[in-house]
Amino acid sequence: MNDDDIRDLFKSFEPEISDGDDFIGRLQRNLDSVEMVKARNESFHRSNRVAAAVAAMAGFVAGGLMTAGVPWLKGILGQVCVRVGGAQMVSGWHDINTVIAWVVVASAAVVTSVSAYEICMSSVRRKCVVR
Amino acid sequence: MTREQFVTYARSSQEALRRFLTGLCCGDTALADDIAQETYIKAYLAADTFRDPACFSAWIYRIAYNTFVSSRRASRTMVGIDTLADSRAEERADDSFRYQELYAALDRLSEKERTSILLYYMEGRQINEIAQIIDSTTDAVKQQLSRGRSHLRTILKTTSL
Repeated sequence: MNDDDIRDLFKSFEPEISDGDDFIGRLQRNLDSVEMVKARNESFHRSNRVAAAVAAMAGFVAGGLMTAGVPWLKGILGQVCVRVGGAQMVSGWHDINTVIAWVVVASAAVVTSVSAYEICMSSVRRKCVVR
Repeated sequence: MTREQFVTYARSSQEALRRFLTGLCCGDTALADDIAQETYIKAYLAADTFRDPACFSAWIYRIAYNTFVSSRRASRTMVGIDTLADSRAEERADDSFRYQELYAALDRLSEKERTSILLYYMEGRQINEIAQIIDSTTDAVKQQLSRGRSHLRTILKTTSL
């Protein structure tokens, strides 16, 4: 068997395949499913971006409001120190009070922004289930 | 590329692609159709990133070849060696049974040899196009063709086709 024989062999090689219209019909149905998943993913990503923006805004506002309350927070912490350890503790605890006050501010900002994100996303999920 | 344009292209190219995949799957038309469907879906999803319309056909064939290789890998991990040994080409579905000996011979070639042989002899593609499709060099394709030819000759001689 030489090269020409192989060429001849494949020249007459025409495997039977199913109907082309059936194949295209199946492809159209598959593409419909792909389009549906794509649309859902796009809407999810859009909602995710909105939720992230809302979370950032909520965190910023909460952080700002809490920062305004830092002197008041430090006062409360100072009073707690006096009650617990007496007047001599106040000077030593001054710096620690400041740190604690800022930690409280940061935590409140983070908790607010995470909560805002979760609330936004759960409302999006609920909308998807209703649809 | 819009969906209508894509479907028009798929309509015109599906026959050749499915015949090529049937050869690649050694007569398993159902598997060939599944791979062809997956190929077109992958191509549709990536159509926006494709820039060179002249190479569209080679691109589709490359996706088809990669999908075929992945499906082979997946079936290898799912099906045990004993089961694979039983799945001879003679038992595969092809209504006419005309090409059973050729399918059996193709089945004994490596994936790259089989692809090169089919693209060269069945599709009439150039060596550089085949290299592009199977992600290889032209020298490697020439080598695969030469090896594939000699394997085919030996196998078909013994089965006296």
